[in-house]
Amino acid sequence: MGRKFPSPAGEAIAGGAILVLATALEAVQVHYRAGWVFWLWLLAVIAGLTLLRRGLNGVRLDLGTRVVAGLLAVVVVAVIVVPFVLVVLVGSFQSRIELLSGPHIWPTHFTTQFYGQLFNAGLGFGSTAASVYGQAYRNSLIVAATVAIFTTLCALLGAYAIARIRFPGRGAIHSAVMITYMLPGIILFVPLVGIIKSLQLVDSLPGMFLGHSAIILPFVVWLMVGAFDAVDPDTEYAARVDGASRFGALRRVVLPLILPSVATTAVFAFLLSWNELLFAKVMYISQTPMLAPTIVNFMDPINRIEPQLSAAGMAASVPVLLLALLMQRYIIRDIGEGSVK
Amino acid sequence: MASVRLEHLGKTYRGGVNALQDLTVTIPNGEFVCILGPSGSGKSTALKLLAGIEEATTGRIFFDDQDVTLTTPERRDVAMVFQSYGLYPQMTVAENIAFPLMLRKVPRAERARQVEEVCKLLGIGKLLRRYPRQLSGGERQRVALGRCIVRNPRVFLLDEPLSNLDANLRVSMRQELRRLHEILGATFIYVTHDQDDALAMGDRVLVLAEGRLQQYDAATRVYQYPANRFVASFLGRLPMNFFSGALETRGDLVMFRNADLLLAVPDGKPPVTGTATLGVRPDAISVRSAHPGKEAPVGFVRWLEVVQPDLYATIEIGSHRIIAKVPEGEALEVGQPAYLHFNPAKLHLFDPATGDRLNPAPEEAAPAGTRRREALA
Amino acid sequence: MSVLGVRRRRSPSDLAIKGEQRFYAGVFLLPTALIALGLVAYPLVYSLLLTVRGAGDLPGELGPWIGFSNWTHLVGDPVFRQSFVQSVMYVVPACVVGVGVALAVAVVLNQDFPGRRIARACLLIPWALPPVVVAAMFEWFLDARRGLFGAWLTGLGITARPPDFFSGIPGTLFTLVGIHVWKTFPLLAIMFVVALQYLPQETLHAARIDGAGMLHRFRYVVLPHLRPTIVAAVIIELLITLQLFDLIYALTLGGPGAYSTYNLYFYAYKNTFEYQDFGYGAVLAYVVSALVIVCALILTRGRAARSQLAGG
Repeated sequence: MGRKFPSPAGEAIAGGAILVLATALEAVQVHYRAGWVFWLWLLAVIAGLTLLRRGLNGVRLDLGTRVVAGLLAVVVVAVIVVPFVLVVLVGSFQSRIELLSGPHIWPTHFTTQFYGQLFNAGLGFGSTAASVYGQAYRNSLIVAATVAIFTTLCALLGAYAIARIRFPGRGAIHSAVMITYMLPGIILFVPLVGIIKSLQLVDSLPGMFLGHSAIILPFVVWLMVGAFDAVDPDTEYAARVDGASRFGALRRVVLPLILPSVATTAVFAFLLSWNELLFAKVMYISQTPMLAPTIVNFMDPINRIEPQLSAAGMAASVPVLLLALLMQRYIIRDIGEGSVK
Repeated sequence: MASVRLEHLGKTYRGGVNALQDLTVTIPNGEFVCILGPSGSGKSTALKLLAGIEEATTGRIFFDDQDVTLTTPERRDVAMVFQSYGLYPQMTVAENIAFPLMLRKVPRAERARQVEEVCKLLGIGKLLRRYPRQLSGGERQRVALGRCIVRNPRVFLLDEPLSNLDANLRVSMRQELRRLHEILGATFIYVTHDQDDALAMGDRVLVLAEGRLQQYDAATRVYQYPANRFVASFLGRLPMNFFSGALETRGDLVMFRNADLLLAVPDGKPPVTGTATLGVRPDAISVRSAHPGKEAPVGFVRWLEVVQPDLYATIEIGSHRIIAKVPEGEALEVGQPAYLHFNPAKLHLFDPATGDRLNPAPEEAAPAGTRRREALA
Repeated sequence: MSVLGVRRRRSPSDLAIKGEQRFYAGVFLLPTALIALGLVAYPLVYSLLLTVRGAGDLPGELGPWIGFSNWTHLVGDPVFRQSFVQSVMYVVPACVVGVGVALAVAVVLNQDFPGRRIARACLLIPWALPPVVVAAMFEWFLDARRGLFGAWLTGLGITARPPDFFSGIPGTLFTLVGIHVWKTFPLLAIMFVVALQYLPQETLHAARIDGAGMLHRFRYVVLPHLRPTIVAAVIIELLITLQLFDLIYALTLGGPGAYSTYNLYFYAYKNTFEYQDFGYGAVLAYVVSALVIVCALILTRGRAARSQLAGG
C-alpha cells in the first residue's frame, strides 16, 4: 500500500470507515449464512486496523498504536470473560429452558432457585447431591484456609533458613526444594494415603489437611525463598548490628518488607488446595466431600442440571476470584518478578 | 546537514508538569550547540522533542524550513546518542553500526564498506566482532556514534553522552567530538549539565532553567556576559559573589553602594539609579594582606581553599562573605585583615527583581560559529 | 538475650559463630523439615520401593520383592507408548500456542490505553478459576447440540453445523489443549507484561530513530530482551501440561474411544486408582517425574550455559 492518503487524518478515517462498513456487511450477511463473508470481514478488519493505526499515529505520537491496542484488548478480555460470564455467571440465574435456548446477557426470568438447591438439603431435583455440595463447600473452605496459613508459616521459617542462614547442607536442601516442587503430586499419593490410613485419618478433615499440606508445601517454600531473595540482606545486618536478635530482626525489619509476598503466597496455597481434585477424590469415602470432586459429580451427563452446575461453578469461583481481585496488584507483581529473576 | 529552528516550543506532561515553555531559537546549519542546564531544566525534554520520541504540546520544529513537528522519529532523519548508548546487546559492534543501513536495505557489501569507513574514523576497527557487554564505556560510546554517523543525518543529537565516563576519558572524548564535528560538518546539538562540557565544545551555548530559555549566545559570551543572575551563578567553577545595594552617580561615574562596599561600575551605560544586585566572580577579585588604603574594602580572612591551580580565600567584610582569589606570592593566614581589589571590567549588574542583566554586553566581536580559543578569564 | 545481661554491642563477626547458626537453622527449619521428611521424602522412597515390590496384602504394606518386571512392562506396553506420544501432543501445541498467544497479549496490554489495569486484572480470572469449573464451563460452551460457541459458528456461517468438539480422534485431544491454553496463557502473559516493563527505553528510542518500524522494533529490541522470560514461560507451561489431569478426568475420562485423550499422568492415575496396580502406577509416576525433571534441567542449564558462553 503506497502513500495514497493526503493526510494522516484521512488515513485514519479510511481505516475506521472500513471497519464500520465491513462489520455492517457482516451483520447483514448473518441472515444468509454465507460463511466466506466472515473471512473477508476478518481481512477487512486487519486492513482497517492497520490503516487506523498508521493514520492516528500521524495525528498524535503513538495515538494509533494505543487506540488499536485498546481495541484488541477488548477482544482479549472478551475471550477471557465471555465464556465465564455467559455460561457460569449468568447461567446460574437462569431457568433451565432459558439456558438451553441460547446466550442472554441478562436472564429474563431471574431466579436463585438453583443456589438454594445447592446448599439446602432435600429440595428440588437431585436433592441428595445438593446437600453434599454444601458440606463440600464448607470442607474445602476449612481445609484450604488452614493449609494456606499453616504451609505459609512453615515455609516462611524454612525459607528464611535457606535464604539467610549458612548451615551445612544448605545447598543440597535448596536443590531438593527446587526438585520437589516440580514433581507431580501423584507420586506421593499412594504412600501418603497409606500414612493417613495408618493414622486413621482417611475421609476426615485433618487427613485432608495433612495431605494437601504435603503436596503444597514444597511449592510454597520455593515461593518464599524467592521472596526472601528479593530483599536486600543489608537491612537485616544493620538491625542485628544494632543489637536485635535473629528473630527480632526478622520480625521488625524483614517481615514488613515481604508481607505482600507472604500474602500472595498464602493466596497461591489457598488456590492450590481449593482447586485440588485428585487427592480430594481419593480421600473421600462418605464423610468428607470436597469441592472439586463434587463438581465433577455434578457433571455426570445423566444427572446433570445445567443451571445447577452453573450455580455450583459460580459459587466455587467466588472465593478464589475475590482473593485474586483483592491481591491482584501484588499477585501480578510476584508472578512477573519471579520470572525475571 | 540542516539548520534547526524552534518556535514557541513547549511540553507539558500529563499531570501538569511544565517541562519546557516557549522556546524560540534558531540554530544555523553546521553549528555545535550545547544545551546547558541543571536537572529539571527541560534540556532532555528539548532533545526528545527534537528527536521526535516525545510530542510537543505547543510550538513547532523546523529542519531547514521543513515542519517536522508531527513527523515520527523514524522519518525525521536525525541521529541520537543516548546517555547509556542504547546499543543492541545481542548484536556485534559491526551489526550495531550496520543496523540503520540494513533497515534501509543497503546491500551487504556496501554495508560492510561503510561500517569499515566509520570504524576507521572512530578508531574502533578492532572491536567489530565484539558484543556491547564486552566493551568499555568509551568504546560503547564510539559504537553509538558510529551508528549515528553511518546514517549521515541532518542533525546529530547527543544526550549527556560523556556523563558515564571517567574524568580523563571525558577530556579526550570532548576533543574527539569536536574533531568529528569538524570532519562531518553536521549540526550537533549536545545536552549536558556540565558547564565544562558546554564551554569546551559548543560554538554556542543555550542555557535553560525550569523549562525556560535563559541565554543563547557564544560560549565565551555566556561566561563573560551572563544575561541574568541564574546564568551568572550557574557558570563558573566557584560560586559568584552577589551583593545587594543601590546605584548612584558621582560626577561622571556610576557607583554601586551598600553598607560595606562602594565601587565604580564599568562604563556600560547601566540605568543610573535604583537598586541593583552586583555580581562578581571570585577570580575577578584579588585579596591581599591589608595595607592602610582609602577605598579598598577591608575584611578578615576566614577560610583558605585550594581550587586548582589557584588559592582562594573567603573574606568576611561586614555582613558579607566574599570568595576571592589569592594572587601568587601572597601569603595569608586565617584571621588576618585583608583588603580586596575588584576588577572593574568584570562587574555584573542585575535587576534585583527580574534578575536580568543591567549593564549591557558589548557587541559581538566575531560571528558565532568561529571556534574560539581564548582563555576564559 | 536478657539472660546475658547488658553487653558490648554485637559485631557482625559475632553473628557468624557456627554454633549459633546451626541452632537457629534447626529451629527455623524444624516444622518444614518434619513435614518434608514425613510426608514428602518418605512417600517418595516408598513409591520407589513400590515399583519393585508391588503392594502387599494389607493396605500400606509393601509386598515381596518382584524384581524389575514393572519397569520392563513399560517397554512392551502399547498404552504406555500411546500415552507418552499423546503427552507430547499435549505439551508441544500448548507450549507453542500458549507462549505465542501470551506474548501477543502482553505486547497489546503493554500499550498505554484507558482501562489497561482492568484488562490486566482480567488475566487473573482463568488462572484463579478451579480447573473443574473451567471444564464444566467449556463442556457446556462447546457442546455440539446446545453450546453457545457452536451456535455462533453456525450463525456466522463459518460451519454448516456446530462441530462436535468432544468426539473426534484426535480432535478431542486438541480441544483439551485449547481449553488448557485458555486457562494457562494468562499466567504467561502476566510474566511477559512484567518483563516488558523492564524493557530498556533508550534502546527502543534508538531503534525508532534508526528508522525501525513496529515489527523491526519487536524483532530486534523486544524479542531479544524477552528471551529469558520466554524460556521460563516455556518451562512453566511444559511442567503444567505434563501434569494435566483435571481437565481430562472431568471432560473425557480418557476417551472417546479407548485411550485417545490419555496422557502419562492420567494413565498413571488409572493404574493406581482404578486397576489398583500400585507397582506399575508408581513406575508411571516416576516416568512422569523423570520427564519433568529432565526437561526442567535441560531448559535451565541451557539458559545458564548460553549466558556463560556469551558473557565476557
